[in-house]
Amino acid sequence: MYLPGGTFSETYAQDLAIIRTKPQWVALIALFFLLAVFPWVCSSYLLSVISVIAITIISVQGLNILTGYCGQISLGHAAFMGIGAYISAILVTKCGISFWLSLPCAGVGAALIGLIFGLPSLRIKGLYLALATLAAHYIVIYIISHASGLTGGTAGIEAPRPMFFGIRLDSSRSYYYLIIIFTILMTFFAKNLARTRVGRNFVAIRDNDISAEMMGISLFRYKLLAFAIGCFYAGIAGSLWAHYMTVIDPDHFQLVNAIWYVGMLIVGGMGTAVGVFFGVIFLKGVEVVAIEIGPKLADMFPGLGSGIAASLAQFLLALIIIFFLVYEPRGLAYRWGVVKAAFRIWPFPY
Amino acid sequence: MEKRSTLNSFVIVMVALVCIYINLNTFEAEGRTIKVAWIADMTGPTADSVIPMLWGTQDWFKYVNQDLGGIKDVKVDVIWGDAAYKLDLGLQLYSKFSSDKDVCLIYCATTHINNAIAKKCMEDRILQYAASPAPEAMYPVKWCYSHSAGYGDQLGAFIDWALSKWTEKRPLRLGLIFMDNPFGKTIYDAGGVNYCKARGIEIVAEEPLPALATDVTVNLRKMAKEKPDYVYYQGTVTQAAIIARDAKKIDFTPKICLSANSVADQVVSVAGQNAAEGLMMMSWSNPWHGVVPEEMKPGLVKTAAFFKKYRPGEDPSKVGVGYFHGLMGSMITTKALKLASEGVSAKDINGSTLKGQGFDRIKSFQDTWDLIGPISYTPEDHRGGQYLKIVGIKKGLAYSVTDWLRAPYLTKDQCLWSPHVKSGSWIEIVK
Repeated sequence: MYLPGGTFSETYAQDLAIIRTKPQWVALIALFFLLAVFPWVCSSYLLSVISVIAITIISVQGLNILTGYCGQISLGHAAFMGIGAYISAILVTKCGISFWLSLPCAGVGAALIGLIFGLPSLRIKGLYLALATLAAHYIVIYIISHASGLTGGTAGIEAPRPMFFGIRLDSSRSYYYLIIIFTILMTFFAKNLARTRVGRNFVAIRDNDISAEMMGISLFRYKLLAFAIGCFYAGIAGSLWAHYMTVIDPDHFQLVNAIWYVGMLIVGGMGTAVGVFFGVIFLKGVEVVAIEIGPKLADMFPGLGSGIAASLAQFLLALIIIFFLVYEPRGLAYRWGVVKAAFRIWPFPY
Repeated sequence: MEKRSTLNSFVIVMVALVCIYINLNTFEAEGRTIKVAWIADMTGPTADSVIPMLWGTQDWFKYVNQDLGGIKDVKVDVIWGDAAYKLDLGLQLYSKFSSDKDVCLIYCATTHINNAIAKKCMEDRILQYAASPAPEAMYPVKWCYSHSAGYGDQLGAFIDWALSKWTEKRPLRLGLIFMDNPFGKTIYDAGGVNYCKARGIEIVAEEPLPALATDVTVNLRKMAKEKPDYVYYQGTVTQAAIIARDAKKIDFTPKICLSANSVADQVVSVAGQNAAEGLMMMSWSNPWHGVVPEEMKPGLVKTAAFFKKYRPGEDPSKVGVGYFHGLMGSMITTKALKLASEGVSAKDINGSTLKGQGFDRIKSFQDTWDLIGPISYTPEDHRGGQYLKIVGIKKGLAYSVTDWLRAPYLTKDQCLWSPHVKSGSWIEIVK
């Protein structure tokens, strides 16, 4: 980790610290303060956008662990979110279990099912693994759609807002705080995971799985562990999503969402926890901006056609991903590191 | 000195002009502009149907604002956002629109988005208008209105008509084909299939199809073995055309009826005249394009001229029933606005007053340019009147098989109204 000039680690604890300097602490506290105050000053629309972004960050953090750290491509992440969502909804509505218990159950359930679909990763990788996880998506969604006695099928299932010490979190504001707390916690775990032995093993497998195996890293154990942890995150995100929407059906977990999660990783930077934030906020932000300017473009240029103006979002998002793949494959996180390094030595060029 | 005094004079004159301009605008803006919002699928699988709906709304309110001068000091602004058939985008747009205090009504044509926002609209006291009837939005009654009989009701109306023609002693054999998604399964969720059983129909085959299926020969062969007398399809016009084409291919020729999302000229152009021959479809409106000359009523000629005026660059043959939906919903909204304006001032027009003083007072509204049957709403029933037609295709052109039929009023577990089934409880009826 590059440290600012004049900052020295004199103890192991200092060396291991994520937040190392006073300005970094100040920035972090300011960020927490902003997050706490945000719902009181913004519109309900922005609040809903931020809530969706926060849930997406949790899901993409899981995908980052699986794909970014361990190199296992997964196109089934939306389906694993769906598993978590339905487990949580079923436990709450049909079994009468509290949300605070159904949430971890959703994560564990998604992790266990992720383990099963992660088994092909022991034999195949790259595009073939992507196709295997694509099949997992269709299998999961098919089961959800047709097990209507349990899941409500295509009509969907309710997932009421949770109670917290007798208060129902049914306002957007109260549920926002719940989502943000979990986003912070899950990001903290993901960041720390990368610094542990498990995380380093994941990276070794990503970089060269044959060398990793020769060094004594059990591919069987760590690939499955990556799937389990990644899907655990997806399950948690799914549960939060279900109770945010209050009604879910299979249409909430479309394949295109899983593909966009991979896109967010590419844009943000694979293999970094902060890259997930960049990718999700950037792409969701582009989507929000495109929704705003689409109708205005259609009004300004009637000959353009409303359909073309509206598809601006899809066009921009696809263009951005191609741009990043060609010109900045390491993503926004890398670019952010370069900018930070430049400011640290400013005004000197090197 | 001279230059400075000239400059000063120029600035003073400009400021005066700006002040006069602002004052003039202030004087003109005494009335009120309310907003109606469209959560529209401008991209995605249903874009072809929804874009014309938005056009219909935009054109109608342009006509109301410019040609009619608004409705008693109230003008209507149409805003929209693209939901791309995605639920999270639809909900995001709902948050955006619902936070605008001038938005009184939200149009949406997507079943799963309509279902999801129905409760929110009721809590936020914003009217919802479903161009495509969504079962969860329509019953139990909330703040959602429609002019279209539900998909379950359509199947019920078709069965009522088929049984009225049935002379054999054995039960009528029906095959069901539907898209394997919430839209396709509305015939189940909205009580249509239960109604068939209640009326003694034998459902001999049920074939769910993936939304993007391009060949359904296998499904049709399976169904052909059961020898249905009629086949009913719930899904999109594109897939309906595939079914017609593949049925012709394997010589499977029962009477096929499509639900009311299909448009005759679109089916003919996609399936081909030969494959489309003999097809029937439920229709919420009088057909417009690709029809026999006798079908073009004066109101529809007026609609065609209206379209040409406001969309001169567009090909009317490509528009289909979507433009009708947009027009119909907007005409009904205008009627509701007129009724509400009778008792409420312009500044008090909002979702609640538009509902109570407007929509709920609409009875037998027929000034819809021959597009649809009479529209009536009550506090218990927001479906609009349940009028449907069956349209057939002969030699590539559409014609009315029936006059306006009154569809039964069905929910998943109940028959609330039917000319044939008296009891409201399925438990007593369904075997």
